[in-house]
Amino acid sequence: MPNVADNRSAQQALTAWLEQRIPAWQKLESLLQTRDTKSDDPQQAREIITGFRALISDLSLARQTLPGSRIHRELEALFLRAHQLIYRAPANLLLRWRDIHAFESPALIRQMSRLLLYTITLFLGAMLCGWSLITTFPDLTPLFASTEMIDRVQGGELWTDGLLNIMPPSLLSLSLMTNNITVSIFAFSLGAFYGLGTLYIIGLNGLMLGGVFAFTAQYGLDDELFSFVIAHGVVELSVICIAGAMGLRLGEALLRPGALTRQQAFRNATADAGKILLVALPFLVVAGLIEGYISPDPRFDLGFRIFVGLSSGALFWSILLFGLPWLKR
Amino acid sequence: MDDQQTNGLITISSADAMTYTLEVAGVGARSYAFVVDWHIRLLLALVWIYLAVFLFFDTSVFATLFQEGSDHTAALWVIFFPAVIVYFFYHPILESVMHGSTPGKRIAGVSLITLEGHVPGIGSILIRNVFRLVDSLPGVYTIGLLFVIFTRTHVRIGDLAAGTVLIYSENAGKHGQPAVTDKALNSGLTAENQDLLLELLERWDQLTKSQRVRLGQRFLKKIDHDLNTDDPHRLKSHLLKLAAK
Repeated sequence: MPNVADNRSAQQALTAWLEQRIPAWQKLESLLQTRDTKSDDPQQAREIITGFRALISDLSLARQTLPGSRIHRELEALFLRAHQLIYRAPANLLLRWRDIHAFESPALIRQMSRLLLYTITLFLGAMLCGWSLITTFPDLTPLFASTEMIDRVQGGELWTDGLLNIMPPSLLSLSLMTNNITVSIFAFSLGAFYGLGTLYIIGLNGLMLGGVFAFTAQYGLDDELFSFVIAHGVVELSVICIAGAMGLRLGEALLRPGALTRQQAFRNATADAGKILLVALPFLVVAGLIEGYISPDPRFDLGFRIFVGLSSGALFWSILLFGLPWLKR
Repeated sequence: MDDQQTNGLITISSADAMTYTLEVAGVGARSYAFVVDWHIRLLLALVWIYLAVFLFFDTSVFATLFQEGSDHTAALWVIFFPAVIVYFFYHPILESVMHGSTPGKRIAGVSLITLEGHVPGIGSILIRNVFRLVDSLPGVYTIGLLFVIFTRTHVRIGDLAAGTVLIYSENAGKHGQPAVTDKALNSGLTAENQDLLLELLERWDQLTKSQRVRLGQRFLKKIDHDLNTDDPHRLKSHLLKLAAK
């Protein structure tokens, strides 16, 4: 009965191997479960790494001799848990945030300057189209403005007049921030449709802004609208254009992945764009506060509004282009 | 690091020259996890709203909260702001804190990993959640669902962008290493036969009486054991003894 004998000796070998190795696996498992996450104990880390290395050779052996068995699967699960723990990226969020702001984002934005220029050109072009469309065909105004907005402008006032009587500035800021952040995220993430979604969002926003300016100009209210927009608009429109450029970057990665697969190119583009948006999007909170507290408040004159708009815009662009120059690597 | 994707499985090659295969969670498990999480976050937000009203204000505040001209700014902030944060930031916060998991994912037995087999970092988690806006278009996660159904690794656009994948975490190591090795040590069967026997015993209750007898006898014949009985209870107790002597 050679089969029975073979099976018996295989079983004996397995038992001997298991008896020898089980304590090491149990020790590793218990270390993974009970390790002190706050501790910097090098001894504990060393024990985990040593156990992990030994597990690798055990797993290789289990794969050869017991493929698909429960022991193989359990060792694979133990390997996965140890691997995830050992190769987990260090969670120093503050340092990472600093690096992205100070060094990575300026380098990336310079790399993407061509796309940013295209986006700004597209936005300005769409604004011009919107302006000329409403100037030539005033009947099309309802495409860009609600009935209430049209009625108020025809009555000689902007829809933003008396905004603070309806809603307190804090809530107004919050609702505007939410809206702007949503628009920016849409402008970016719709780039996943080969950039077409981004083109639509940027084009639509440019058309609307140009159209609304043309409409208010017909009633002599364009100066007032400019006065409302200028304080928060520089940062707000800059962020939207940057989000649009990042969206086009996603589209470009999908259309022209180069040596990478489309999925890899898309992933790399998203990671780069995500870093820039991490720097840019918080400025929408600043823009929202300006739009809630300064823009609708008639006590602030045009000069102050222009100053706020230009200085916030200068701060935004200098951080985005030059990072935080006082920080050294 | 490299990953190979076949339908429903993902094989990951680690830096230690090891490869391991993980089972990718399908549309059912994903949806189940999402629905559980959605109920939890909705419940948490509603509980906060009611608690805040009862603790800090009067229930009558609801009647005038949204009336034009009423000044309830503080009430609106205290009542709704935390609720909105809980509802909309539930996924990114919990996935970051719980290393790629959420209560819903735990209940569904799935967890999030990167294509390299690591726990996703905060950047990947943020990107994954930003793309929820697109995945949820034009409503009820239609685009996301279509992607999950038609991609090999059942991922939505957010996962493609972040390089993440949802795997069955419970299947990997569901029996527990001590239990498995203990059985292997105490059984006289080969590893292959022992696996077969344990699978049979796990499914024992779902089988009919005739299936139990037929499969039990076939297994005994395979390992050259003899037990002349058609009593499933006797057969089961014999098989249990064989599984771990």
